[in-house]
Amino acid sequence: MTFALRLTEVRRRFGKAVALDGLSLSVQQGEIYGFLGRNGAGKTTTLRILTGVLHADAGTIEVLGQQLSRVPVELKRRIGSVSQEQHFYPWMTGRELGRFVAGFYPTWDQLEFERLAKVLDVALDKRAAELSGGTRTKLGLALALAPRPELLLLDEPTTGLDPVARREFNDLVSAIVKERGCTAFLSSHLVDEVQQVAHRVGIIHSGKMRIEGEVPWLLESVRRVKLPAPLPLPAGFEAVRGDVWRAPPELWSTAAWPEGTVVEPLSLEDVFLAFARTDALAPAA
Amino acid sequence: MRRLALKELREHGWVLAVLFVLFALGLMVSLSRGDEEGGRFSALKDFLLTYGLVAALVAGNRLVVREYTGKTQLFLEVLPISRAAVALTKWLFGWAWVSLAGASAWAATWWWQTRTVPVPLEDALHALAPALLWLTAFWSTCFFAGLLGRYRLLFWVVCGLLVYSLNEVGQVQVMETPPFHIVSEALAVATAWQALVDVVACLVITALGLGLGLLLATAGEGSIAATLSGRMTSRERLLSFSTVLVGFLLFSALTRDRDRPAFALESVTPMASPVGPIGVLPGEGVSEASAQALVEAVAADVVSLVQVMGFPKLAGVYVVSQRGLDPDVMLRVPLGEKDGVVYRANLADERFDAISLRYRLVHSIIGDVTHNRALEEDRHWLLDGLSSWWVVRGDAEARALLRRRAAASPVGLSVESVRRWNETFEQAGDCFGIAISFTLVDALVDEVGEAALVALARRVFVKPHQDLRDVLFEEKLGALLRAQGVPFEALVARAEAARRNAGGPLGYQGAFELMSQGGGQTRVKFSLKQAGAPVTRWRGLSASTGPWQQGIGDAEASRVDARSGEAMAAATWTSGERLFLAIEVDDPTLRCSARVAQSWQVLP
Repeated sequence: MTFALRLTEVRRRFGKAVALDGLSLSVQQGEIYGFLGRNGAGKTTTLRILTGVLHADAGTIEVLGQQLSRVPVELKRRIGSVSQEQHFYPWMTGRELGRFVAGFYPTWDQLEFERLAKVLDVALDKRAAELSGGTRTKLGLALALAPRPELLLLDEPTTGLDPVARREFNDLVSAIVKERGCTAFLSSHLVDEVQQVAHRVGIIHSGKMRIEGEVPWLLESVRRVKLPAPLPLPAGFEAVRGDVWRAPPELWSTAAWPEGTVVEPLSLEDVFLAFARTDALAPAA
Repeated sequence: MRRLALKELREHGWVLAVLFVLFALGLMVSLSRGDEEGGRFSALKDFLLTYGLVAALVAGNRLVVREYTGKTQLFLEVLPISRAAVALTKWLFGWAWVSLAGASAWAATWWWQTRTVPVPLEDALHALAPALLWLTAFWSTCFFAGLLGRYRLLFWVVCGLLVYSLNEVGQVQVMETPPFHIVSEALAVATAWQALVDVVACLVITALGLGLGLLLATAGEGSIAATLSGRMTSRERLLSFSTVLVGFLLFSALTRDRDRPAFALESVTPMASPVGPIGVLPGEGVSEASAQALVEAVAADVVSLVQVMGFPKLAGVYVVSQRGLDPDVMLRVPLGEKDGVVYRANLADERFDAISLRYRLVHSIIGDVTHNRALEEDRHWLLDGLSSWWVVRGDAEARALLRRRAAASPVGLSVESVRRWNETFEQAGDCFGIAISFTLVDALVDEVGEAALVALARRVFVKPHQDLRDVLFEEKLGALLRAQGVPFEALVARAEAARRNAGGPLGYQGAFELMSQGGGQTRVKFSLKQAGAPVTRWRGLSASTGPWQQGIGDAEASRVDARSGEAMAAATWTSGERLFLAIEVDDPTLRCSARVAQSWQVLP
């Protein structure tokens, strides 16, 4: 298995505040990885470390086969990124921004840039200041994809987009990943969006990875259990929050439940809610 | 880096181009003025201390501050270019810009000079090298200051205060100290390389600015510069404001006057004096005896004044005779950086009025000691009155003369006219103005006595601190008078009564007629009569003033000498101009140039 991205026990503090507290995750090449977490969970810090804007205090980072403590400039040429806010030069048109960014990427594909802009309905002759927030994000995606990056880092890019634009954005990301075989790392707190495009999902909370895996596996691993009477946790099961338990999928079908027990499947949103709450580590009732 | 440099050129090129044109125009004006007193490259020196600094400040603001306040550095951060490379590109771009501006100014100055006198390349390079070093050092400072974000203004204020305190408090000649010395007169003269210490100082500042700037741009993964670029919190604003205010107060309180070198005049008729050198330089037509008499009279005035008032020793008091001046014109000589009181007057003219000259000397001494605070309108009458009273205090004949002059004045004394003393004095002219101020102080002495007058003057005419204390703790003349038991209104009434009792007006009737010349041009016709008959020897004065200008100096008014009852002013004026017009007569009984009519006119 080839990893496009692998973080092991990565830590990062900002003064006394712990942003990443031993975060580990792995993203396989050619997949879209959904990185779910609440606001302040550490998603943006992770993305900023991966884009080379920040460095990690501790832990190992492996990006596109290179193990490093911080992302060097050379490696950044193989990575495209789109962040929540686009801080373009307001006086530049989309075309000028393309020309400017192209100078930093030897692999820049001008035709692809113009095709993407057309697909995303971005008017390249307008100044960045004249574009709506959504169009700026789409322009950001076109700029990120035009150098044909091997890894695409998306930090809550669809925040502020209307549902149609969001769908178009995500569809394009899916299509590009499929067509080019590149990898996308999508950070978001919009569960339905992640469920729609991601092959695998990781849920981060308080700077730690709570759970990661393919979406069907997650849904099979985490369920709600309503017992007729209090019962000790069966072997291999773990209480996540209240009556939400996790266990390997095969244990759920082989476990011997007392009569009257109801085992309910959960939506990905329920799973997210169960893992992304502050008292998630509280013992089960 | 090339891409980034091109972006900078695209973003800021037009602003820099406009500045370049403005600088070029400024330099052209400077060169065409032909002000070469300071040396062949004095225009370049001026450029470096003005436009050069503006160039660097603008570059710092455009290249650094704008990037961070617009948060566009976040866009650059995700591109495959390091923060250090971004910062270095900006520094290099800014350096190229200020160097281009400086080198262009140098080339233009060199070319201009070679039109008249050949200037060898080596000499020209003596000017170019320090110019570039100076600009590079200042640009590096601007680069660093730009990265300080919201604290950059505080940084400049602190730098300014530091330079100010070194100059004023530390008595350090800043322009003679590195790095400022590199743009001193030596650059303008351009005959030798700059001192090594100046070069080293500039290089150290350049290195510090660049190094600290790069540190700010990269430290904390750029978070320090990004955080600094945010707006000040209200607490920070308050703290900064308080710091600046306290700094200003502290420095101004510590400020001492620079000891200016004394002006010295040779070949004068000297007078031994314990309060500083006093002398008269007699010119053609002035006898040794009359010069000696004048210097003795001046010394008597000055020595007693300085001793009684407790003034510091004077740098020098001189009178220089100059034939050709009108007898009523007495001009103070500007001494530049030198200290002293020097007047030019036509001592040889039989109509020369020594009282008026001695009044001016005393007036100037008090004005200088009080840093001209004695000239504030609320106490100016006391300054004028004390000066005139002082020079005639032991001379009954002179006192009687001043009383006659005051009585003849068409401008009388009232509470309002004394409160608006500057305007009143201008209406009265020197002869009557001096006389009526004498009447006021003479009335005050009658009321409280000479000792009380001196005590009052000592409290009013003190050497100022030149800071807020002058405003907060300054003693008010009105309050001091009340404390002496002399209400201001009563004093004025008493002085006016005394003035009227001493005689009457001269009976002149002066008139000014505005005569349109067509095309918006106007000329002025003066006319003067006495007892209905035309007067044949008198003067018409005219001057155009701005709306903000309060008074007319002796040298500013143009004069026309009349030999009949009417005279036309030589000049013409255009519509909307504000004119001051006056008529003066050399009255034999008053022995002065009496202003018998005056008027302010705004031309229709």
